[in-house]
Amino acid sequence: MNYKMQILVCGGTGCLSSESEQIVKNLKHEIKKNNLTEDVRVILAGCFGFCEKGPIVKILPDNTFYTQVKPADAAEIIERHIIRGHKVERLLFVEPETQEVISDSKHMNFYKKQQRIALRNCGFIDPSDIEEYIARDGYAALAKAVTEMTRDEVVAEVKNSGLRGRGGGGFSTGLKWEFAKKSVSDEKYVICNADEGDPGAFMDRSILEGDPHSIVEAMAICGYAIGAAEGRVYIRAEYPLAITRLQKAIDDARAYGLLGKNIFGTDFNFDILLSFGAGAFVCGEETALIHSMEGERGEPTTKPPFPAESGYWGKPTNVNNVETLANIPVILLKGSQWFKTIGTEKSSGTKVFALAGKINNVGLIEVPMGTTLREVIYEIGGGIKDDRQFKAVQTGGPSGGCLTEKDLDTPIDFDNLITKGSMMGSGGMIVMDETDCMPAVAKFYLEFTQEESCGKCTPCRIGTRRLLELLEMITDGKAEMRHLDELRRLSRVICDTALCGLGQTAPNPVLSTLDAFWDEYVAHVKDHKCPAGRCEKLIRYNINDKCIGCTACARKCPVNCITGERKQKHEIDQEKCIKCGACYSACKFNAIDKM
Amino acid sequence: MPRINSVEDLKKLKEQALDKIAVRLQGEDIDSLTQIYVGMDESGMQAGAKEVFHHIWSAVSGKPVVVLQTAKIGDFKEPAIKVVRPGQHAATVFEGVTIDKANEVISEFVEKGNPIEGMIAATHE
Ligand SMILES: Cc1cc2nc3c(=O)[nH]c(=O)nc-3n(C[C@H](O)[C@H](O)[C@H](O)COP(=O)(O)O)c2cc1C
Repeated sequence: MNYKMQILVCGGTGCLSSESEQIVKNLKHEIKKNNLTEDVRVILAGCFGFCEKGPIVKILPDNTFYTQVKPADAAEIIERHIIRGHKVERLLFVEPETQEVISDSKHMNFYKKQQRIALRNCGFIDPSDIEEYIARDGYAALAKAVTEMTRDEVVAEVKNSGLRGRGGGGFSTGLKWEFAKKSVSDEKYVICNADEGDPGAFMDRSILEGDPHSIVEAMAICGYAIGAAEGRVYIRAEYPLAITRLQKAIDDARAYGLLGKNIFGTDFNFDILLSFGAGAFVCGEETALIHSMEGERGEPTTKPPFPAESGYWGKPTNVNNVETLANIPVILLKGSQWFKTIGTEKSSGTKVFALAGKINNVGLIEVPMGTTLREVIYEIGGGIKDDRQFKAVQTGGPSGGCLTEKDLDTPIDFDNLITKGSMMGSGGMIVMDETDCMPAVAKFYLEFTQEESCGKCTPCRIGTRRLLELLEMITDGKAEMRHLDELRRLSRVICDTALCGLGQTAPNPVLSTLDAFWDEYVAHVKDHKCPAGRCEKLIRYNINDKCIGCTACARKCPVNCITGERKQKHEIDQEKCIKCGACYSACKFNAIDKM
Repeated sequence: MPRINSVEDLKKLKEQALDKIAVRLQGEDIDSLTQIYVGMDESGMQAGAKEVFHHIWSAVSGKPVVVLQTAKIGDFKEPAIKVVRPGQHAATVFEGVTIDKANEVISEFVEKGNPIEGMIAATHE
């Protein structure tokens, strides 16, 4: 059917939770009502990335990009835009800095500096339609690999591209494929790591939801290259939409003959099964992941042996992250030299980041390596929310560290971030402002890693517990200066002695905040003050002379710790106060100071 | 469901499948295509803009041209169309466009670049 116009609606998890499926239904209803079914088609696509402004609806071919659309807007979109060619102005994006109304997303600051390789099809194709993927050169890279290239040539192409693992480690993908290829065995496996356990990260989920065939194709290419006939995707069960779309992609690829026996009429056989994880962070670590897939406890083991020698069921196994794999078909089609022109010398290509925290444009972005943190935070991210002051950005999730103002002009790549005391990680990027307390941020990450520690090795099981206790003492105002030294010393011991990457990197948020925000730690310890006003135990509410004795605060106090006569200044009993802040919110006369 | 047994099969399927996303590809490449805007507001529609739109759409199928709906093009006799060459701000408007006139605009002006009667110079924002 030759449609004259198409309407893409974001079908990422975020927009779906804001009723984008209902938007699709309403649009279809209006199209039918206006006899436009032959001319206009509505497609539930993958994530557009601009989650802050979702649900997104894009009209083509004129590229009109509507933001924060509600199901009730469907009638107006069809009536005004589709039938009469008028844009629905109130749904267009307004650039916050210039107040300019922008209708085409490519002119928005959020998209201008992005380059989409891994996310190339997200928000463009219908992820449930294999033919749309094929129309975008899908499976052409697999065809090229198995019919025109030797296995060594495929490995060499990936190696020459300089692609490094996007799952956190940044290891050369081509080199890893080479190791797996060289391992001699009757059976080998390809595993796609879709565990994605970093808090706030949703890069891999979006790729699986928006472009699942790219992963199926890449796994098959890897299978051909290393000599494996079986692939497994280890995916957390909390990703139901990604699972549904990926399973459909696998089923369709099989039905089209793109998985299974004699792919493209050659003797290459390959198929993929899904394995579900229960959402443990440690199961993202490749050896723990493999044990979990084998039905064992999800605990890591020491390396070597690396999975490339002895992995799933003791066979040579190549484990790659979702985003890493999403780059593979493009590298084979456009060539390693093309890929190397993007990014920096030692980190080629792009990186997807989940931009979150105190930033105006929360969302999923893909930028060439080498883009600076400043560009990401201020241009793409639109700066800090509510015009507050930038304080720090946490990259690398619980394994990473906090970077500060002085690091903003650092070009982002694997090596630069490590030099600066953080890491790329899988791509979580959480921006903080002056109201964030850094010891509390470190405590947040330690709560996470301590909870997620599998308990197998003592440094991680007990060390992270002790680190957390020290941080609790600090944020409760009960620590002494010697505890800060202890915090640093213990962090180093854990880094040096833990069994796997979880423990080895868990102290990073502590170490990086100790380095960059030492004064803030000291203020908690020596002055019993939280400069950001976040740590509850260190907050004091006092009633000042502006109090007129209206009794509003006393009436709201849940523990009756405020006393005073009507029309007389009241007082707070600090012993009884539980620092809930109810009095502070109730006072209309600015008569309560929060200190 | 078609089964792909060879690279040729894949290529064939790709050619067919391109239809499904053609409109999206036009949107992606819009800056490198000749754009023909058809004014579709009330007066344009009454004067037959919809028929002109559909006719032009079919006539340029497969050519490096994208047909777009817009509101009123300006103070011109309806139906009015505006042609914008890739990457240009200058535009050319044609007013009172009939099916025959639309054919002439496409074959002479859009495809061959020949000036034709009734051309009105305009700008495109
Ligand atoms: C605690 C921990 C959690 C991890 N979680 C993930 C994850 O969720 N996804 C992922 O791809 N890699 C994760 N990794 C890295 C994997 O161990 C492995 O290096 C990666 O999957 C390899 O793929 P790549 O080379 O394509 O990056 C984690 C590592 C550690 C130590």
